[in-house]
Amino acid sequence: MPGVLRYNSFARKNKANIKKETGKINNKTKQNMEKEIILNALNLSKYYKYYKSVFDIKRDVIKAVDDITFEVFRNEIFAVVGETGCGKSTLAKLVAGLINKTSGDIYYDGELLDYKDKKKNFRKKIQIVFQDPYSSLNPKKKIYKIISYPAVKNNIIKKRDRLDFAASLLKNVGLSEEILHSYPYELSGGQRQRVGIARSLSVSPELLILDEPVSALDMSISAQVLNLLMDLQAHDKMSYIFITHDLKIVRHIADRVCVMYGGKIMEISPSQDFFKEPAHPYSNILYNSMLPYNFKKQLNFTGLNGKNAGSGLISKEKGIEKGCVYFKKCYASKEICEKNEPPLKDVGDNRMASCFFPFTHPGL
Amino acid sequence: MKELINAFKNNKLALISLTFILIVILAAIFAPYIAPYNPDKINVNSILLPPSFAHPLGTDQLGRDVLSRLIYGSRISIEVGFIAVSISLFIGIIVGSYAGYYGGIIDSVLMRFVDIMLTFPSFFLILAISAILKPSIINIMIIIGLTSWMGVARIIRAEFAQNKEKDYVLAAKAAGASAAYIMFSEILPNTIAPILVSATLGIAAAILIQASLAFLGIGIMPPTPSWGGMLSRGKTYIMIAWWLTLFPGIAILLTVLSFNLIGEAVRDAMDPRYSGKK
Repeated sequence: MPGVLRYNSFARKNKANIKKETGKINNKTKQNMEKEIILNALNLSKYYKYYKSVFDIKRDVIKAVDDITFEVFRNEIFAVVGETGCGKSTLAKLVAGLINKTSGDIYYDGELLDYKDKKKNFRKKIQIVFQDPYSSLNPKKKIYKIISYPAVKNNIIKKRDRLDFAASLLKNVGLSEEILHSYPYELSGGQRQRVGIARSLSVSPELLILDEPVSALDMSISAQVLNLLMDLQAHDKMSYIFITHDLKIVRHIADRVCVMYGGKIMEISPSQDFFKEPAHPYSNILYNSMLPYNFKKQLNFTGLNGKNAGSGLISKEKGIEKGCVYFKKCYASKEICEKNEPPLKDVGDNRMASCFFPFTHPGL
Repeated sequence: MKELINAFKNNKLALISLTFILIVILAAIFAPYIAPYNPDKINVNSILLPPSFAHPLGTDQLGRDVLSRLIYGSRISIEVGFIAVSISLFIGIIVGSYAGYYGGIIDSVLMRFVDIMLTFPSFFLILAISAILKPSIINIMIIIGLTSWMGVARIIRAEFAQNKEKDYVLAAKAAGASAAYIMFSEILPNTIAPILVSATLGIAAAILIQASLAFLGIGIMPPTPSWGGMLSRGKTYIMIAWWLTLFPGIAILLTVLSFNLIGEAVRDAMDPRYSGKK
């Protein structure tokens, strides 16, 4: 079994040694402190209430995002990964102010993020790019109107200047001016996504939230759009919150990785450390489920610790009153995991994981 | 727009209907120039004449030319059709868009009100109201408009509820757009197809209701020519002068049928199952 896995046991031992040298850890934490925090979320939650059937009196609760805390540094690409339904898109919409939070706070540049505050106008600073390039552009509007609208709305340009403004934006994202007067249905998926990116850039935001920006595009187009996004980030000194389910993209572009599961953060790690050795058992499963280049290597996690280890959300109906959200699927779980919820805590090397037994590997 | 043109290109019946409606509208506008006689002029020498070269559709019991009265009568029908439908669209769009966009309690309250309105048998409601109010064509238009917006409201609500979840609405929100802007500038243009369909079908219904009211002698004062009124007074002479009832009847039938056919053609064109493009 260990031959199948990609972690390196030597690396693990080395890390254990480093951990003992506390001085080094302090140095690294200091380095971390020097980075400027652009956005931090404190105990952020979003619950959806719904009636399970017509006859129900009490409403059921889905915890889409449950009590999460994280920070994003200036000029970094912060990737949020997780499977379908883990709450990553909800997180994106919460930060973008498209849905109301249930509890918790978000701070932007040290100020409470409140989109209703007209003076501070956070809409100028934070923008979002959507996943589906087909539904994110209004089919009845011309391209130049679509991409200049945020700038016109936020008084960055005058309405009469919007054609020139739109043309320059199109140039930035590698599109020709010819499509200024086109309607969205005349464009291809890749072009549409570039238009979507141009629209978000029209207010020159400092923080861009990318909600699976390339998952609706095919491989070659997706690579082009990713490269465009990386160029823009480097050029305009933006910060990205990059939501995705594809770890290959994360390895390609992210500075730090945040793994979510069942509305909770499982792990936050610098990208290169994460891809050396994931800390959380779930991250490990996720990491090992990346399609290997050698297809003949079959991954098999069943029978580990007597559990059907793997991903896939646990049925929400049963609900998790206490304990770890990943308890039922985890190969490393012990009694304590069922009773107590592991907090998101420092596991060394600027890494955080919410697990009692980080760096445990299947089969060990 | 392209879909609309295609709809009429591939649908002969709809094209014929559209031509007919255009002729009726033109006749209504240019009635004084087209009509061969003054529609109100009583001529004792030509009472109840059958169709002839001088009077292509005959004359009525007061010697008035039926063709001229038919042409002037189209004014009432077209006016009622368009104005009543405008009123019902206005109310229907407002109610439907707020209900669909906001959902929740606003939706419940507005839609229950729609349900209540729908429980009234609308024709008798119109009869009752127009019996109370002063008989005038303006009142008739308003009453028809006020009692026929519920269908529009329901369609618009469904469209808004569907569209508000789309990403382009979220994108507008992220840009800081107000709710009113999102509703009427972002979503509304995307609901134009069902609005167009219900408008054309609504015009047909309004014309029919107005003709029925005129037939019952409500709304239009006698000397003013209207198709329903002509039908009503012609029925007394149906045994001796068939042209008095036949021609207004045909005019109503063809106009209503044409509007319905156009409405259906538009619906087919806008339905993704019929048109090849998404």
